[in-house]
Amino acid sequence: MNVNAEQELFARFANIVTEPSEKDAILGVAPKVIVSPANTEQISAILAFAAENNLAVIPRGAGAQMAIGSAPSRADILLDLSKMNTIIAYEPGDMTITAQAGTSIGAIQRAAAEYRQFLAIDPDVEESATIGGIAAVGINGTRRMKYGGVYDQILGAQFVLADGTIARAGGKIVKNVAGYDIARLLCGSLGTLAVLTEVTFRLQPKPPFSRWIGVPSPTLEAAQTVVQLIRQSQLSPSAIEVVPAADGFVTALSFEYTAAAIQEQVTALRQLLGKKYGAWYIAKPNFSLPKNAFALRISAPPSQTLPILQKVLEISEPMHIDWVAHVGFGAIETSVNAAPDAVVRLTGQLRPVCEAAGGALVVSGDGLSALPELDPWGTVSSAPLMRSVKSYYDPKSILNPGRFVDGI
Amino acid sequence: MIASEIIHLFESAVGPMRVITHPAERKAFASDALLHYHEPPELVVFPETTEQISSIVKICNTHHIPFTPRGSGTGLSGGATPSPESVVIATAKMRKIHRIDIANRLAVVDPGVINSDITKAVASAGYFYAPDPSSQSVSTIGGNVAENAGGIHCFKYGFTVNHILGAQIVLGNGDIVEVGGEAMDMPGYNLLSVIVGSEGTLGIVTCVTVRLTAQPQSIVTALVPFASMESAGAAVSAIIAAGIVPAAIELMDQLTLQVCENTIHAGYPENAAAILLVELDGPQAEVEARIADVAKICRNYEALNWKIATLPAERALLWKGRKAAFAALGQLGAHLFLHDGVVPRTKLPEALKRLTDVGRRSGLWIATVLHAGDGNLHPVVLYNDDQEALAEQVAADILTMCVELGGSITGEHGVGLDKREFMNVMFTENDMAAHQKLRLAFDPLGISNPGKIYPAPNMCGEGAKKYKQHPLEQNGTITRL
Repeated sequence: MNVNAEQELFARFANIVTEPSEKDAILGVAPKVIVSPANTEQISAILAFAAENNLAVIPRGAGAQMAIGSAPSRADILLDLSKMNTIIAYEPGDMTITAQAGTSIGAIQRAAAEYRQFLAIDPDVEESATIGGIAAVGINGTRRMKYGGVYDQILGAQFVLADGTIARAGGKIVKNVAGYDIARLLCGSLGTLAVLTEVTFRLQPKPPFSRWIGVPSPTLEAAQTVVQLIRQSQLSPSAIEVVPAADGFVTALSFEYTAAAIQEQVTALRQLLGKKYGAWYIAKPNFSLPKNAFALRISAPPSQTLPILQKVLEISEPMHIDWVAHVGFGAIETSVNAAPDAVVRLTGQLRPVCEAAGGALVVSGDGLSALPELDPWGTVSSAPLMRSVKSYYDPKSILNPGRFVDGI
Repeated sequence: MIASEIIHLFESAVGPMRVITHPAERKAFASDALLHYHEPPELVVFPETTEQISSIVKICNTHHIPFTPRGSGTGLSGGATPSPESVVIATAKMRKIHRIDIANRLAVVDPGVINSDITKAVASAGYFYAPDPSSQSVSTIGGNVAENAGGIHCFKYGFTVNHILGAQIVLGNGDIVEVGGEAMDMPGYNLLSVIVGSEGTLGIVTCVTVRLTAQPQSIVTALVPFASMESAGAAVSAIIAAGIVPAAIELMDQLTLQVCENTIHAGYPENAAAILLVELDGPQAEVEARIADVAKICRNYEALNWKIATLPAERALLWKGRKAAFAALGQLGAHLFLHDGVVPRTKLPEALKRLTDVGRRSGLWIATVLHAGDGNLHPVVLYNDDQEALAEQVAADILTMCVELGGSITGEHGVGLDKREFMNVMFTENDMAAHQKLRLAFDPLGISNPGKIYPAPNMCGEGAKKYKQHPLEQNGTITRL
């Protein structure tokens, strides 16, 4: 940013511009200024100004997931959305909630809990993480299997385009096919197409009871057998997860029903598994991984999840990695405390395995700042079309430049 | 007019037997199930492979000829009504189920595969394809994807968009692109999310990977008559407020239920002012406990009776009545105008009241069925030849009312030609301009089903012409099929 633009920025947005500190760097790239708008109109004015002056804008909610994606190719304005944290409308009878993008997931869940409802997404983030950030990143947790992904919960959105245009897509009702579903498209787009300012989500009723059942197994092959038996049966768990245990592995299942139905499911599960495997009521396992320099996230067809996990564990020896396998929908999350060159090697060996199975491997974490050459995303099949979409929404590439797939 | 040398190009792309040029034959493709609009295409082509579709679209692209994809033509908003001077690309010859992968709960199918044929192919393994539009026995998966089709069970199971894992699509320039796949949450833009429901305007879907759902262990359908629409509507709200997620929850008014009963003999009590059909599915103990809760709630709202069906044949009969609603109403003579507006569920009582007022003011009969769980109203307006203008006014009143109450002009039928002039009731010019950037990215020339969804003045050509009856039709010598 040239001196004139910076001076004008400070003059025009005097009350909301501050100087960044070291902790505001995005994977090692320091922004020039932080702007903290209080409303959508201010965001529109900031983006129009940025577009005019060709300034790169990095949107940020609570900053919980800034280490996802490549380091930005340039960074002028850190657009801090944390002041936009108002729940605009919550109608329990409609099971919909509309909130500003900077509202925390914790605030949404607390509001919904008063009416025995919840927003059915549980990514591994702190409860201060914002809904705008969670939508932009689009990462899912254990609820993905029963309730779908983040984009399955979003009903509509208000957003600001790179040129400052304020627009809406979708609506505030659970069923609607009027117009392109741009709100869904923005989920998982890492803020590279538009800045989300307001989001409407559908909510779900809390089930009467929710219980976790654990099936221990000494080996991963045995866990795979257990998972296959369950997936081929008429049992209807809400989640199927595999986690490491002191003496092997545990397949953890959640059942969300009335007490009688849970009892019925557990009885059927024990019959299905026979004498070979035990099934016990357990506390909800801790699916939250420790924060390390690197995190590897793998997507795979569900039946390939554990075979790929086996490869992950073999190849990563003797490195220690923490992991959870979402076998119900086909994902593995890992947290890796290793030197950057070891992570490059691991990625190089694992990514072809994942891609050959029709999946993908994505690397994230603060450690990426030491690896500017590593593509965290891998190759994507429809990259030219994605670039075309980007070029119409953000022709000057000012939104999160260089952070997304294929250099978008 | 498409020049004969260009027609030859199409013929060499798919074979001369796969191109329809005769005017009488082309006329059969002039409308979808919304008969108000009528626009015979220049040509109809029947490709058999993705590569052939790509070749067809490349010819269209080179010569700036618009094309309109077509499945079975059962759409209700004019989405498959040919764009003016266009080529219809019909997927009727692409009906293969390529692969069924039970371990990963998916199937890879051609776009012309009939919705219910997927379920037939996987039922013995214990699975089904969940989205169930009333047209499912004839409508194609490609058309379902284009319209993001819903159905009576989408309250619990979600819409087409929630059941499509991947697709192959031919863009406006003829490029073949794969989006999504067998693994979820792949890196990159979620292009599949916008392709589903784009009504053929972003290209033509040539192969679809659908998600399969495990059959529930137990299913119960309840038939509950009420003395008023209000009390039935209040019961719906109470059921959902109790945290119950029915597989389906459908409401029919008296006119509809009487007509359906006369046609299908499903056992609907004809003296009731409204009936509710509630279906629960899941583990047996869960269904038993929850159906008892539903019964109690219905009693609290003064249900006139309570009848449940558990045998497949009994349940199928109850649903047959509901699914026949539109066809049955057609027997009342006259013309039908089926609407698809949505209101927030809490606004249903007000919407039903205002709908009654609209009917009374206009003097037209309005029969209403609704997907009550998600606030999706299907009022059917009945009118005579000389009441077309009145019917259009009623349509405008209904759609505007839905938007005023915080809802939408369409829940599952699509905007098509039919409702594009109402998009500006829901969206601003800026909103629609922002949406249409997407179209430019997929189809810069605007040749893929132009004129649908958005009232875009810059798109080529005018909309399809309103259908006018032939004099022989007016005097009753001939009738339209």
